[in-house]
Amino acid sequence: MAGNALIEGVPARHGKSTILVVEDDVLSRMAVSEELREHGYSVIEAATADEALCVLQGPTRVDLLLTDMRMPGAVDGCALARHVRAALPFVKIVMVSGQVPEADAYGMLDGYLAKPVAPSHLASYLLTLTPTGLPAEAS
Amino acid sequence: MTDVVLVVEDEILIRVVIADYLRSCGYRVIEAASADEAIVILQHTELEVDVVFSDIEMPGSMDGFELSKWLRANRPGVDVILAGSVARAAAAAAELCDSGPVPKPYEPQMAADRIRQLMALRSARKKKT
Repeated sequence: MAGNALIEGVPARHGKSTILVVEDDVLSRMAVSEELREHGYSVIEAATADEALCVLQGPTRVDLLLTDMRMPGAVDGCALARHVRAALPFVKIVMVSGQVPEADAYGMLDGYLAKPVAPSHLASYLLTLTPTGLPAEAS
Repeated sequence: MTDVVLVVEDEILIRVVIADYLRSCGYRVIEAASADEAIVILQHTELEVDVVFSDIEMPGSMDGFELSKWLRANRPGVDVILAGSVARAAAAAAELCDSGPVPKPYEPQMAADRIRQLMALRSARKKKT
């Protein structure tokens, strides 16, 4: 993967941390994205893992991948997370799922949220991610 | 109240740039990756959408023209803008910005150039693999 792998040298979008939200349910995606934007994050919305890969393989800086685990299509959330962990080690990964991911998938995540996620808890949750949390202002 | 624009576009590289542009003009922008998603948003939320800004050719059960017909029948108060190409989408977004709460952040040509650049990068990458 080119471009995004060099994330340390890529400027932040609008001076904000960028979250790529991957969710095939449009109402959940909309609620989560709007909440994160209200908290000052820059949000990119992807309806499928393929769309997410398209963004991640481009020149746009992404600081955190927030992905659903189960999604239709060839690539699900686990495969997407595995791909990102291997190719883009700087990108934090938080998975959202109705069931706890299997141990090998869990090990590569920076965080896991059980469904249903209350959008209002998301922003405070992101600040608890180690080691530095993900503040809305990009570092 | 900020005007709400629903951007309906199946190509993510276009959707992201147009949605960003309209947000910079002060609109509250909701994104849908298909006409079907747009209808789910319109039917299942309390959101009062002022403008639907849609691509024409899209996969799924409806294209932009059919979405437009649905809106005329079911949401007659919503303005519809159909843009079938990158150049048209950028120009239409700029027109919308002219009546928006914040002046145009940059020329629409820059948005169109950004989309083309992103799409060219993707094509180049696909050729390599």
